[in-house]
Amino acid sequence: MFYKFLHHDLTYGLLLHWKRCIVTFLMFFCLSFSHFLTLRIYELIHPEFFDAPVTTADYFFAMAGGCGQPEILDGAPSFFSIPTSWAVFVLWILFACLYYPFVELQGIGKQLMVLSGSRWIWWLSKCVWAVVNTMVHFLLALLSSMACGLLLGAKPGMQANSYVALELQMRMDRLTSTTTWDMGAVFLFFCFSLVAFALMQLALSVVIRPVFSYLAISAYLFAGIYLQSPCFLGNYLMPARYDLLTGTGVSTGQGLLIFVWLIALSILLGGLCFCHMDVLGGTSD
Amino acid sequence: MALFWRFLKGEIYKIFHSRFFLIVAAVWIVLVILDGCLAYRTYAGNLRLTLDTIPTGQDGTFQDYPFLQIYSLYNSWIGARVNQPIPLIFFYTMPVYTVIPYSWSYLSEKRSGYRLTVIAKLGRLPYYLGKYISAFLSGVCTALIPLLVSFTFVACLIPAYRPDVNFALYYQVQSTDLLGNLYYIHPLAASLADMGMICLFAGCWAGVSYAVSLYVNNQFAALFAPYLVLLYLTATAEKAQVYRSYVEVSLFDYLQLSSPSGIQNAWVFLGEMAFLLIAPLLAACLRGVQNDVL
Repeated sequence: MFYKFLHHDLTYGLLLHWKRCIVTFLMFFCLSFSHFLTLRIYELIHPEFFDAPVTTADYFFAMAGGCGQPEILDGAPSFFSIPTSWAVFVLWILFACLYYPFVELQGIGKQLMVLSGSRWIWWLSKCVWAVVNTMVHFLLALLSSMACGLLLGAKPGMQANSYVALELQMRMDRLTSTTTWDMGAVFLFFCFSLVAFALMQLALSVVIRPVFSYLAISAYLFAGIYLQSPCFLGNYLMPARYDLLTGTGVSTGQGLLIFVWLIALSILLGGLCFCHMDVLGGTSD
Repeated sequence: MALFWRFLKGEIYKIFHSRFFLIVAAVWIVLVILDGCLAYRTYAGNLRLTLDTIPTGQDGTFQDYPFLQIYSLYNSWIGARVNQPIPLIFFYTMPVYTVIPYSWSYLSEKRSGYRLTVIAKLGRLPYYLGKYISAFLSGVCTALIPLLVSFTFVACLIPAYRPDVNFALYYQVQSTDLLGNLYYIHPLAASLADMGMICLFAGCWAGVSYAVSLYVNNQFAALFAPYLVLLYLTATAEKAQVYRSYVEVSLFDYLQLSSPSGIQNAWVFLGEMAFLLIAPLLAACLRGVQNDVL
C-alpha cells in the first residue's frame, strides 16, 4: 500500500509538476550567470585569482553559498549585504515542497487515505515525497549552475577556489584553505540540511497551516543571517559558514547530529499531529 | 456609485474583522516590541557606560562630552535600526505578511461563488477595482500598525535626541541616503516619511499579490510567487551590478532610513514603486473590462 501511495505522490507531486522543475533549472541557470560577470571584474582587480582555473563548483558555491559571519560594530560603517541569491535558493526549494501534500489532501488524497484506512501511510509517503522532491530540486539547481559554468568556460569539478570567499563576504584570514576546497562533502551536507528543513516545514504545516509554517521558517532563516549560532539552524544551510571552509564556522558534525534528530522528530511528531488533524473540515491554506 | 461605496465599506470591514489580520498584527506587534526592548538594552548599556566613565562636576554636569545622543528614538525604532536581526526579519518577510490578511480573498470568493453574486449586482470593473483598493488598504494598515507601535513604544523608553551630524557613523544615515538630509534637519519628518514609504510599499505589494490571484488558481502561488520573484530580481540585479554601480536596487534596502550596501536613489525607488502601483491596477482594470461570461 505504501508503495502505491509513494508512486502516486511521485507521479502527481513531482513528475506532473515538470514545469516547476524547468523553472528551477532556468532560474538558477540565470542566477549563476552573474558569477561570470563578477569574474570579469576580478580579472581586472584580482588577476592572481586566476592562477587556478575556475571550476563549475565555484559557480554553484557563489550562487548558493550564503555569506560569512557578519561583523557589525557600532560606530563603524558596515558594508555587509544580505545574501539574497542564497535566500532565493533556499526559499524556492522550500516553496517547492510546501503545498502539494495539502492541496492533494483537499482532493483525491482524502479519498485515498480513507480507502487505505491508515493516516500513517499517507504521512510517511508525503515525508518520502518531500525528501525526494527536495533532492531533485537541489540536484537540478546544482546541474543548472554547473551547466552554466561549463558553457562559460569553467572546468568541470567539485574543487572550489577560495577566491569565491570574497564574493561571499567571508573573512579571508580564517579560511581553512588558501587555494581550493573539496566541495563534495559540503554540498552533500547542504542537501541533507535542506531535506531536514523540508521535513520540518511539512511537520509544522500540519500544526500551524502551510502558509504560517513557510512564514515562520522564512523568518527563522533570516534571523540566522546576522546571528551565527547553532540555535539558528539556518546557519547550517550556508556553506560559507561551515567549519569545513572557515575556521570560525558552525560544526558540520554537530549539525549532522541535530538534523538527524530534527528529521526523526519531524516525522514522528508531524505524524502524531496529523493523526489528530481534522482532515474533513480543514482548508488548504 | 452608492453601491460601490457600500461594497468598499463592506470589504474594509472584512479586512479588520478577519482573524488573519489579527494574527499578523499580533505577530508583528510582538516582533517590534521585542526589537524595542533590544534597542532599549543598547541605550541603557551606553547610558551606564557614560555615567561610569565620564566624571561629573559638583553641579552634576559632565566634565567630558557624553556620547548619549548616539542612541536616540530616531535611530532606535524599527525603521531606522540597520544591520539588526529583527528589522531584517521584519522587512524581508513584509511582502508575505502584508498579503495574508486580504489578498487571497478574491480566490476564496471565486471558489465559493460569492464573486458572481457581487459582480451581477455591482458590475465587473467596480468589483475588481474595489478589491484592488481594499487589498492596497489592507497592506497599508498591516504595516502601519506595527510601525506606529514601534515608534511610540521606543519613544516611551529612549529620549528623542536630535541626531547630530557629527555622529553620523553611529546612525549610519548618510547624505547619500534618500532621507539623509531631512534626517538631520527634521528627524521626526524623516521618520514619518520613512513610515509612509514602508506603508506605500506594503499597500502596493498587497495589490501585486491580488493581481496575481486574478490569473492563477493556486493560492500558495498567489501569495509567495511574487515574493520569490522579487527576491530573485533583487539577487540578479545585485549580482549583475557588483563593483560596477553602487546605486541601491533592492527595494528592501529603501525601506529603512539607511541602506547598508548601496547609494539610495530617489528615481530608482520611485520607478520601482510606480511599477508596483500601476501594473496590478492595470491587471485589475483589464480583468474588469473583459467581456466574458460570468
